Amino acid sequence: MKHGAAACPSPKIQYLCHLLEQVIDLADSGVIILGTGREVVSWNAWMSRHSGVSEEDAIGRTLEQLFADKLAPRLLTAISDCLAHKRSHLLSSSLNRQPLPLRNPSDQTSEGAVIQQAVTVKPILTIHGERHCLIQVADVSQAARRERFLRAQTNELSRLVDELETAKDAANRANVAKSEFLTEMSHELRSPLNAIIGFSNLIERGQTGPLSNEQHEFVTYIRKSGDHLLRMITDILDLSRIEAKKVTLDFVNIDIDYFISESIMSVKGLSHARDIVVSYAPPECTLPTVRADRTRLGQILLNLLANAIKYNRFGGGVIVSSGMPMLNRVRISVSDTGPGIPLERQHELFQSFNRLGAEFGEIEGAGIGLALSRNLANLMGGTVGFESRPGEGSTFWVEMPTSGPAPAPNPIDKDDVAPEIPPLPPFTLLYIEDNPVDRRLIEALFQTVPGARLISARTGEDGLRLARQQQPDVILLDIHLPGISGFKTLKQLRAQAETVEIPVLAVSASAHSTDIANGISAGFHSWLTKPIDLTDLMAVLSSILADTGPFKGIPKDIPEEI
Amino acid sequence: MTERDIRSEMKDALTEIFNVGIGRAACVLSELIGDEILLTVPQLGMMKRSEFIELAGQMWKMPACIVRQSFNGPFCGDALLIFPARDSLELVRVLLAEPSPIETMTELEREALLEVGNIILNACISCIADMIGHEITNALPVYIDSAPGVLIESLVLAPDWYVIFLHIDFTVQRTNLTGNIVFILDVPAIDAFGTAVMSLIEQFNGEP
Repeated sequence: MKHGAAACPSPKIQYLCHLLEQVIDLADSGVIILGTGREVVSWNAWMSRHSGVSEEDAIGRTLEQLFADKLAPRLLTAISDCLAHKRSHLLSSSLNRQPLPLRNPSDQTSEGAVIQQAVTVKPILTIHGERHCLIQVADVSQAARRERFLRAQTNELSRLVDELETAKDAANRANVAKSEFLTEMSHELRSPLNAIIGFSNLIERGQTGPLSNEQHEFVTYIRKSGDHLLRMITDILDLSRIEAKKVTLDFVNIDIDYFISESIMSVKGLSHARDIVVSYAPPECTLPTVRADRTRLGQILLNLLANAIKYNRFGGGVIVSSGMPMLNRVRISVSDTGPGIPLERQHELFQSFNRLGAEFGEIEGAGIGLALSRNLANLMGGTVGFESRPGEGSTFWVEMPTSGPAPAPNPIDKDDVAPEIPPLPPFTLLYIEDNPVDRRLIEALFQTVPGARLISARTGEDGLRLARQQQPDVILLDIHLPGISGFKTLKQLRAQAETVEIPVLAVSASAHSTDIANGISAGFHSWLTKPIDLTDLMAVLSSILADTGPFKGIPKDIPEEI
Repeated sequence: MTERDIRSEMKDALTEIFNVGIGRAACVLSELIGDEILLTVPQLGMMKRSEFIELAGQMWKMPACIVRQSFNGPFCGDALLIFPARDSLELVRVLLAEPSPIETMTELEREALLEVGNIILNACISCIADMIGHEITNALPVYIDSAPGVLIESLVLAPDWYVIFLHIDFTVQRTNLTGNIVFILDVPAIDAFGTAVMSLIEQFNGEP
């Protein structure tokens, strides 16, 4: 920077020039000034440090002489345009690799040694009006490194997000597959249960002849185990349906007082067996009705009652109470005198297939009752909760929204009373079923019904023929038949003048609401789910033969899907 | 020749001149990135600044990326290269051949866009200088994130200043992008253009 100082005429200007020289030398970027003939007239300390060319060596020589072919052509074009036309240029580090051959002497790494530069080329004029060119070089290596790092990090993040998405999709698919598997399995398991429960029921009732006490006891075990297995399968199916959001609910107004008494009746057998007294203390004032699905709420309350009995001490007690913990909510509480639940295990309570305390006893169950109850209650806008004191007992409760003001007392709801089945008039029933065991079950049942005549067919085709020839009063039609299906058989029955009026009942292992709804809309009188409940079947037949309309216990309209 | 004729002739001449300038810029850019870049100016419009502000409000609803370069000479003004934000990001990444998952433009990418603007606007200014036979100098480009209409309105200029408005099509590696170039010029500039175009026409008519 000694070159410029010589031109300063006055002491004041000399003083200023001296300061300016220092400013330029101290600059944290490269500063070069080229004269009219492209020769270097100024070369700051930063340039000397990073180019390896000292100021003395640089002054008076052109950049081409200093660096030969190591200069970027674009820089030379910019310099020419700047000197010839006074136009400014910018050379970015991303589009220009090494406009000048500069290295960082303090950085010994191979990556850090090369300086990435942003260069500006600007015209300046001397005091005499001569064109010069000012080149400024900024070191942007750090910024470039930061951006590379940021890019790599963002790429890694995107990759992780993709991986997570894939894993989530796989987990969702696995969950759907699990639910489908459970539904499928439950369906498959119901079919053999039809024979187990049906035949043991017939034998237990004495319809196949008198039994010894021991035989009666054993067959009761078989029937009860079958019932229990069926309940577990139904629970598993329900849980998978809730997960798949395919549960159907039929909301009605329910009188809690009566509902509780009825539920307590249902667990009488269980409580007697364990010598446990189940008592109900009705509230002083009448509670409003709650809005819920009767079957589902019953399922929840029975589950709480059964747990209170099962997880109780022999000869203990269960107290059921009801009340309104807050406006528009009714709570049913079930308190037991069992061992209570240790605090550290309480969080496991509502997990599926987790049976707390099962390791200490012979308590039966699949361990999904509470999980199912809570899910069902949530679906109906309610909740299930508990309080437990180890050593003293637990209180489980279900809370449901009320449906409105308290109704007039009506202790007996006619809908809930099992209908009296009058003796049946003589009738002919055609059973179309390919499963020989199921056929045998119905044959055995009807042997004991006076006036009943049963004819059977193994296929839809045979069934159609028999229906035309024999003109039965009722047809019991299996849905899954070899050859033409149950639905097609029904269609043909409806298409023939001789059979168009005969009521047809569907029999299927499918308890899926969509199938039931499809069946009813296709023209089936009713839909019976395997295992066939013999009492239900007799009630439907009685209703048809007496021509008093469909039996109330069988779905008669399409439930609302949620 | 009526003023309308002169205006029409001037538009044709300027379209020609800008195409030459843009062609030169395309050569420089192609050399820089080592890949072919095609730049064309299919359309050119001239209008008063006040009219343009209204048009700009309709054309750009969202803030855009703007490279602004002021120039000086026998007349002065501002040159702007405008890209919709998304296009500018795509352009700079195609030019740098560096796809990136980062949603916004980084500091160095912005610097590269400034250089692209500098090359294109310098090429245009150089052609205008050649046409009028005078030197036009320019300042270094600056980067602005703004709605173009708002920016132009904020420049303190007389309403009778003119705006030359160009569409510019980029084609790089089968990627087609459209930007705009806007020249905001003072009255002497338009007069100088008129004179230059007239002398070009005279030269053309005088040739045998």
